[in-house]
Amino acid sequence: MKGLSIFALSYLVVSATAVKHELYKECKDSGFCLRNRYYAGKISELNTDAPYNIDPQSVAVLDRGIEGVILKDLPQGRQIPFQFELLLLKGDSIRFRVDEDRKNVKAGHGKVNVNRFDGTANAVFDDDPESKRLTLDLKVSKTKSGLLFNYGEKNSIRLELNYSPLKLTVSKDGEQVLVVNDKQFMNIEHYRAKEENADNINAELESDFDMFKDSFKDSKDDSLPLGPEAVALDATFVDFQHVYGIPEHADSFSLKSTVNTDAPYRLYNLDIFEYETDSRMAMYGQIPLLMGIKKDVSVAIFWMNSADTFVDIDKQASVNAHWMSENGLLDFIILTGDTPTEINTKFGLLTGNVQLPQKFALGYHQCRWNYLTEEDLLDVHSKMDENRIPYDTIWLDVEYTDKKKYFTWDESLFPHHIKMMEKLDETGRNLVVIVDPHLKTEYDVSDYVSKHNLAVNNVDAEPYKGHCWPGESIWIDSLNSKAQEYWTSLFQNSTKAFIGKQNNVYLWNDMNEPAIFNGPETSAPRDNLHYDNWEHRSVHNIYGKSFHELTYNALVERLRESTRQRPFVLTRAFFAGSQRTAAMWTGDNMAKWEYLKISIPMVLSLNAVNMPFSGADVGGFFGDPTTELLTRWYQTGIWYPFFRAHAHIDSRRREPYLFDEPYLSVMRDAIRLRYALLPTFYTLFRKSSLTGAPIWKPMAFEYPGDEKCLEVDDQFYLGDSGLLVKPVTEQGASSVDVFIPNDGQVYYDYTNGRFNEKALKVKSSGTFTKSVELKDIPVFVKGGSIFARQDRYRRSSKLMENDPYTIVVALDKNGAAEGSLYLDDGESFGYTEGEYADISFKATGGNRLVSTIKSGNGNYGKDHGDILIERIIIAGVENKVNSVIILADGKKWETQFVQNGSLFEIKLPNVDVASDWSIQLSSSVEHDEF
Amino acid sequence: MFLRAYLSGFAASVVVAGSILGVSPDKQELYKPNADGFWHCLLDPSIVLLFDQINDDFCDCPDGSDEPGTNACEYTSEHPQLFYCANQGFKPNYIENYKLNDGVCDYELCCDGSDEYRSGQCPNVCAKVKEQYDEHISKRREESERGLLVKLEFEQKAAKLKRIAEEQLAQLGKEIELLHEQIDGGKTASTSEVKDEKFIVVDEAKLNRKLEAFKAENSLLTKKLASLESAFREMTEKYNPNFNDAAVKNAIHTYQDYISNKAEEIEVDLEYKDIVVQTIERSENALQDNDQSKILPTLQNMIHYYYNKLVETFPHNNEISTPPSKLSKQQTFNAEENEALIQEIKSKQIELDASERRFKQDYGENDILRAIEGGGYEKKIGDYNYRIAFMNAVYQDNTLVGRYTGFDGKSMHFTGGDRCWNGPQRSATVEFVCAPEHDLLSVFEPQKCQYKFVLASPLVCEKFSESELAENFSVDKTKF
Repeated sequence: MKGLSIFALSYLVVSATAVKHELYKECKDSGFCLRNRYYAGKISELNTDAPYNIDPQSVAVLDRGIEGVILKDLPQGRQIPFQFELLLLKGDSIRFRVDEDRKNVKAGHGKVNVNRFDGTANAVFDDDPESKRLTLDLKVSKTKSGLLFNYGEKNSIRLELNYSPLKLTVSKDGEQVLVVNDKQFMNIEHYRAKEENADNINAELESDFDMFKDSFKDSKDDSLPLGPEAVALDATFVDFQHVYGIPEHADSFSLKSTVNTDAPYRLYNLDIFEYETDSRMAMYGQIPLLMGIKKDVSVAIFWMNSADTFVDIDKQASVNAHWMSENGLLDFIILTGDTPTEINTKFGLLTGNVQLPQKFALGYHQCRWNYLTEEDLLDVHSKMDENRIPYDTIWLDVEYTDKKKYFTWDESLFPHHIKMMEKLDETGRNLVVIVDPHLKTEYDVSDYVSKHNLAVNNVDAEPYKGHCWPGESIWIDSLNSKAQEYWTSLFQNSTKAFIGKQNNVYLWNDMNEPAIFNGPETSAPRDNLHYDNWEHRSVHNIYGKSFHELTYNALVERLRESTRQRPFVLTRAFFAGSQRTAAMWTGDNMAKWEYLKISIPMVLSLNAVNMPFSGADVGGFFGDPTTELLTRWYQTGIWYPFFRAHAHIDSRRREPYLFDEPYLSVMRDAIRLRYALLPTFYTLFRKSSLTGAPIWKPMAFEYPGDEKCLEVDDQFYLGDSGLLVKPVTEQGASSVDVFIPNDGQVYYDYTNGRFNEKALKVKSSGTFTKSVELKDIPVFVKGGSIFARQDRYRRSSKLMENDPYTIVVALDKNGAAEGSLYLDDGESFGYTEGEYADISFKATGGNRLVSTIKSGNGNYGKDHGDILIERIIIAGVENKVNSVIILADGKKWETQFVQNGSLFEIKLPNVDVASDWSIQLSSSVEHDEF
Repeated sequence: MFLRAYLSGFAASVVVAGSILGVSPDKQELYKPNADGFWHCLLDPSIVLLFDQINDDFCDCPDGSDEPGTNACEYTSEHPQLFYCANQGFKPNYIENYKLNDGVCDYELCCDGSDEYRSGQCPNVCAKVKEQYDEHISKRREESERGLLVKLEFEQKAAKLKRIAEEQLAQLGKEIELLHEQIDGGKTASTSEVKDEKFIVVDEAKLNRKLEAFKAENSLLTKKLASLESAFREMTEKYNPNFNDAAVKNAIHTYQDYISNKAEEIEVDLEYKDIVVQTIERSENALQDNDQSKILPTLQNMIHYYYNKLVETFPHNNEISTPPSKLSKQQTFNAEENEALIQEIKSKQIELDASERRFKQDYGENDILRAIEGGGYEKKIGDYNYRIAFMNAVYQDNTLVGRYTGFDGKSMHFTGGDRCWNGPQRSATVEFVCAPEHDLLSVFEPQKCQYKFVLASPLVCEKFSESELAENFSVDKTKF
């Protein structure tokens, strides 16, 4: 009676692996969403005049902008006035802001602040909102029915405001591009007491569902002290077929039509456990920027509201979007440009750009929940070196703490944590430790926070207590500006403090949606109170951002005297503006192929809305990836702007060195390719920090005029480097279909980061099938590009500082190409004072390459004169070359080269990377003079 | 050939006539130009280079031999690129080329700091390293010598224990022999034994009642267990993971562990049952009558047996049938006595077998493990209490991490522990490192559910050579 193994198998319980839908609200469970969908339906069905009109008498054109009053007609004959203002902002964007006067709203709501929350703009803008305002010194033409003015470069944009029906129309170069309130779905639920509701509702148009209570089973305790407060609006993207943005959703890059489904795109920061792919459900963070892209024009709406929000997308001949938020101001910004990248730049002017990270942060991050002891952690550290796999940062999840009390260490597991940090520092390695916003009750940190009124309060204005990792916890109210000083003190650079004086230690802020295990939708009760007694429902989507900013600011102080001054903070929750201070990752994904695949459109969507420093957990957080999946995930993950492997505590260990050949070598090669391309990644981040340009540039951004590119979301350009990446995301794949746009450009096969001598050029545009083996990472280089690499293996990026560079040139059909390389110390704020170099490369005529250095303070080249270029690889050299002549520093010399078909390699040109030089490929026997 | 018109100052400095950077003195002769000033790659004479292409910071040789002093050639397992450090003041050594000029003073390998020759930022600390090294060696030597003394005691103890075990074995052997002799004396009685049918039938009836009772109890417990299992299963499938309630999660983990291990427990039980079955069969054979209709219930025929039983029993109104008339009153005292002797021999034989098996176990060199057999070491690290029972098992609190499978002179191996949820059975390696006293130095899980313990122990102390003593030497940079 042996051999029970078959029997044994039947005992394996399959763990529940799907999101628990019943825990999260759908539109029909959200009063404001259901009511506004109902309202939109009635408005469309009855074809009646909407009750919102601008009072023409009220409109005033002032220096600061246009002001006026919107009147809402109630069936009972009364009118409710709303103040609006229309402002012109930096970057020629238009802000339209509507508020409700609530000074007559009586108390009787406990301590709650009765006004509509007006702080979202403060959180979003990288500066005081007023600083974004331009003087409206435009010629505004007023007519009886409205007003209009032209603005933007060459006055190419026209804005028309129509009073009745209330509509805002944006035209560019004479063509309508956006009509706001096109369908008259604008709705503002003005304040009314419960007992006055009958006199304040338009029964013909409105539903009164859940106006004063919440019938969703986990939110029944919501006291909704201010009743219905929703704001809603629609906008038509005229003649656009595709809209993008409003992350975070596990969905395609081009957004789907939702109007006839149960699920509009939802924007509400949630810790969504085991999220599904192909879903419009809310996730950990939000950036409510919705962008339409088509040939010659792009337009976007930024919905400046931090409350629970749904967006219904209706794709017809044009795309209509219907925004619905639970409360707050009706406040939005219209951004218009020729290209989507221009929208990024304009959005960056308002909300800021990604901060140039320390270079190490672009290296490989090795994470796991959890490295259990310091010996365990240092074992991983040394195994990476033994296996010659570069890495820069190792991470500690919650188990390092004493009973999940942040700012403490479990001394039995990490008795020498400072020594451990020093050990990591020896080879330029960094440690990231987790600190979340929930603070275990009854220890000095939470006691201090409670005592000094720095905690998030419940509806009774007492510190709110919920459950999270440590058990009963309170939450720091990071929206209270007084919280900063204390938080900073916890990170002070002192041997007495939590992470001592080690400057190679950085932070991870998780669970900041906030995640509350016993709260509604695993988050906070909406009637909780924040600083100034704002309801949580008003600030929910900016809470996470305020928390990681608290940490960022604390690190700025901590690192001020160090050479490593740029903080690194990873956050899970985020909002527009988060890009200034944090990197993000896409949360708790699963070790399944579909999650590898969906990570690409997810990261693209984030890049499209100015949040480029993003990535998914390599390997998938939950479960155990097959070795093939893990390998393919590394090959994809090396391209994520934020490249981290992470795993759940119940999953098997999966550090890359644990696997047999060929997998180990394939993963090592992939990670090394990332390191070789670090100079290019860093250059792209520098550009993004100045212009908001995406690091993962969607095909639609490169060719907005090519309809075929508008829906492609399984391949992407690496910024403007010219690299086109097509990750393999299918199990057992022996080939991939690659789409080459019809841009008249040469594309070179650069699979695995090497030109393919045998098949250098891709034959034609369109989709072609490329065969791949396990080791293959399909990459192509667009003709006309130049980028830099550092090919020599080092243990970490910091140790690569003085290694020579390789310059890769992909000539276009005319023998021309250009590219750039940004250099600085990779860690301090010195670059803000000019300590950097911008090097631009330009190839012309198929035989000449010039490097020009532009140093911020003129000294960079002199200070860093000993770093060489060891190799220049040029694809597309069609003439036979007889000599390579270099001119630099007033001297002239020749160097060795190898010509192999149209692939050309210059060996040891012996030029400093940070210098001016030029190289001539000479075809004549006599040397050309130049 | 192509003449380079320019050499960087750095490259020029690397090529010093007569001494090639990174090459040990005994290999310098491999780096000599031929009469025409050329040199070829060491493993590929077909690749000919200018002599000054050696250490020009550009890799020309596929074997990397042209760049012994730079990191230009990739270090691979096939062609490890090693740089020679003279380490004046200590001992010469080699360092991987990817550690050259990376800004790290890799004093472990190059105490002379020559790995950072470009910046010169790493001063020679060989004298201090030698000091630390000597201190380390003498400390380790002292420890291992003390450990060795303890080990000798262990060995003496082991020798003594071995003697005792041998004596016990001999004693048991003798006792069995004696018993055999006694049986041989009463052989006639034994062979003339006539079985008592009634005795058997009564025995069967009793056994039957007991089995019925056990069966009833078993079925009740199975039902209870099933309902508990289903409650746990339901909780596991339907709990709200978002609540992350520690108690619920622990209960689920316990349930999952239980389910994962359930099959194995059954397997173990069944093995045990096999032994019971054999025993029953043996006694059955001993009692075998010619009457084949009398079948005793065994595990194998249980269903058949009970089916027959049922068929037989019901017509009799559920009463135990009266014993059949075919009874014999013969009953000899001799037979009973003999039976007792046989039983005694059997149990002694079992004891002897077990002792012999134990005696023949691998106790390592000089039988040293005898000295610690039955002992163990216990220590709390982090949230868990770890218990290593030498040559027996390892526990993490109450979880079985593994059962002993052997000792390879350095490590004890334990496998077949409790199964991890959705993972393998737990297992452990306990690595012994020489020290005068036992101490659990560390434990970690390099792979999910595979534990590694490092245990200080006198058991593995030797008269170590200097290089062995130096094995875990590490440079303490904080002391420079």
